[in-house]
Amino acid sequence: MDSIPVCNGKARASRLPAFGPWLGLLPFLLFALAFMLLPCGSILVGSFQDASGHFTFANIAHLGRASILSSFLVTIEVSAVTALGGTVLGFLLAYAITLGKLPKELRSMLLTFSGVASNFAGVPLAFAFIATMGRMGMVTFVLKSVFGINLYEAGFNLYSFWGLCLTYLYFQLPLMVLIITPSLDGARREWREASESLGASAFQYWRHVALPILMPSLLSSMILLFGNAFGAYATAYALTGGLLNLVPILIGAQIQGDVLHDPNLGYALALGMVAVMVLCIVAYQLLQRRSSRWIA
Amino acid sequence: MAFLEMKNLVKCFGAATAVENFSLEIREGEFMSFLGGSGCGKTTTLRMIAGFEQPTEGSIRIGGAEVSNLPANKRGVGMVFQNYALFPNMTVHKNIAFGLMVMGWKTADIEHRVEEMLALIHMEEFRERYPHQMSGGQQQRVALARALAPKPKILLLDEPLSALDAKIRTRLREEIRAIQRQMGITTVYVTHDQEEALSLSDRIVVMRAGKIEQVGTPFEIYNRPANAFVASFIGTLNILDAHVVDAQRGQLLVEGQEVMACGPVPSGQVKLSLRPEMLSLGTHPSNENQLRGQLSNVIFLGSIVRLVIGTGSREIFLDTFNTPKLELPSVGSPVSIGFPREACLVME
Ligand SMILES: Nc1ncnc2c1ncn2[C@@H]1O[C@H](COP(=O)(O)OP(=O)(O)O)[C@@H](O)[C@H]1O
Ligand SMILES: [Mg+2]
Repeated sequence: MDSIPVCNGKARASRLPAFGPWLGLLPFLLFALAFMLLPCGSILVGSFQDASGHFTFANIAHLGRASILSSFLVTIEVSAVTALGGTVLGFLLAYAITLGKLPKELRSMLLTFSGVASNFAGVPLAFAFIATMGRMGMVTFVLKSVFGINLYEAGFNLYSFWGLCLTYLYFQLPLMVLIITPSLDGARREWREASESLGASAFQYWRHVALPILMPSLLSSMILLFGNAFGAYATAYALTGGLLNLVPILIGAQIQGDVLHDPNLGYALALGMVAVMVLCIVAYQLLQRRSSRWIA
Repeated sequence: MAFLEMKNLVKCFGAATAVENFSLEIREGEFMSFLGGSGCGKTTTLRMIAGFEQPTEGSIRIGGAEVSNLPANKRGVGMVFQNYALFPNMTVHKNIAFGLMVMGWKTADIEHRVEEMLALIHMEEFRERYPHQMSGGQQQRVALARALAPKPKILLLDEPLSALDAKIRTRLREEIRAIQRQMGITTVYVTHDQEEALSLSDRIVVMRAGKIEQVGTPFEIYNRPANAFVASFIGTLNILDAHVVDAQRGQLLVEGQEVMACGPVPSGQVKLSLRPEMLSLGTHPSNENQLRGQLSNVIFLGSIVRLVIGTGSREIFLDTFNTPKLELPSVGSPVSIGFPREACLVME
């Protein structure tokens, strides 16, 4: 009789720590529930309702309209171009400050700058670009008056597709620097040297050793950059004022606009965005698995 | 005829000189070790041979041809690193084949060579493993095979065993030496471990602060150290202050007692160095010298028993073989240390 409560007490004591780690996860789970699962759920539900709350496929069918398809296309294009550009340029910059033989001070300066710049977006960023690269901007002016180069006559326009890409690159590139620098720090000098002493050229080293090793990180960074641009709203809105038909701007118009007001179409558009991101993540998982069979 | 020849090599990093006036000739097929404490310039010298560092001054010749200005990938020098440095994204097979592939070997020849190398390191069944699926010792054997596969002219190893635990270290050490003999490859082996250098090498270079202190066979380095640094760096050594009474005959005064060394010796104040294993207990006709002291401790080191004997101001180590018949005086009792005059290393 005596031994039973003791036994129970022991069992409880030894089981408790197993819950400990899960307890720590609770705030995150609540957060995910409140700001991810519930909104997603309401987007899903809202997408299949009309203004009076009845079930309908009309909103989803509207996604097939030429104007909406083209806005998805242009949003994906802007995201893909700036993700690719940010990945390549950010990688080169990160390479220069890690494996390249630049002075240490430059490295910490660039990383600090990247930390700030990668979070510089929205109206201030748009204004900064208008003030420098706009029709009356500083850089535009200096190029014209000092170097005789007229950007806008040459076909450049800040308020266009490429103008927006350039502006996005301002935060995409430093973001890439921040996320890829640790991976490059992890690349051993000895891999390069072993490869050299075995007779490989620099190209062969990159082709067979460095790029395959870095590929998983490069891919995941690129997806992150893509998502970063895909959901950006304020920068695009402030810069182009709705001239470019991006999906987030379109959603904004459905939710707040007077003329276009149609929240349920907005929900359907958002659902489309979720679908695109899910596709990206699945594609990433597949690529990642192929490129990193060697990881445990 | 030297196969690898270094002449007046100097390497500076900014204002600091890592290697100074390094001149050395290594014969074809020779196993040469660079031995010295941390930071004495061993790795830097090795990296200059490999082509990873450009010498500030001096020349390096391999087989008579100047290579100082040749990039690393044109030197035909194999390298093994302390941390293995296998390519993590490649299997054992691909790692070993890498050098052959980039040199444009035919697939059939590559396969044949890889099989040959796998047999050499006795790891045929590990062909398709990735580096992270193997122990450190296994990885290092693969790294050795990878370095040797393209038939380099010279093999360089930079502390290849220091990341491994003691037992594997001794076994792999023997394996490296056996493979080196079998292939007859000229080898430079960097280590800070004197036992490793003594047991492996044809010759040893003892280095300190970027300079060569002595070059010689393990026998020469151990028994005829060129100076006090080499003597104290290699093996265990009793170093005693001595006063020279008669330099010509080699008569010294140590701890107030007379000792006869092989003359002539330098005059004035000198250091008398005695290897613990050259000393024996008690009196014996072949031991001209006797030092009296008091047994203060007995340390069992396995096959060796080390007696610690106090002689006035100093403690002297005396090593003797551990046999069941060994009879030792009790701690605290007075003892006499005997040694022949040949055991005396006298240095300024
Ligand atoms: N890349 C480098 N830059 C500056 N100093 C270096 C560099 N490499 C080595 N040194 C210095 O050169 C000296 C010799 O180093 P090293 O050859 O690595 O010694 P060891 O291999 O014998 O331990 C050390 O004082 C080290 O700090
Ligand atoms: Mg070293």
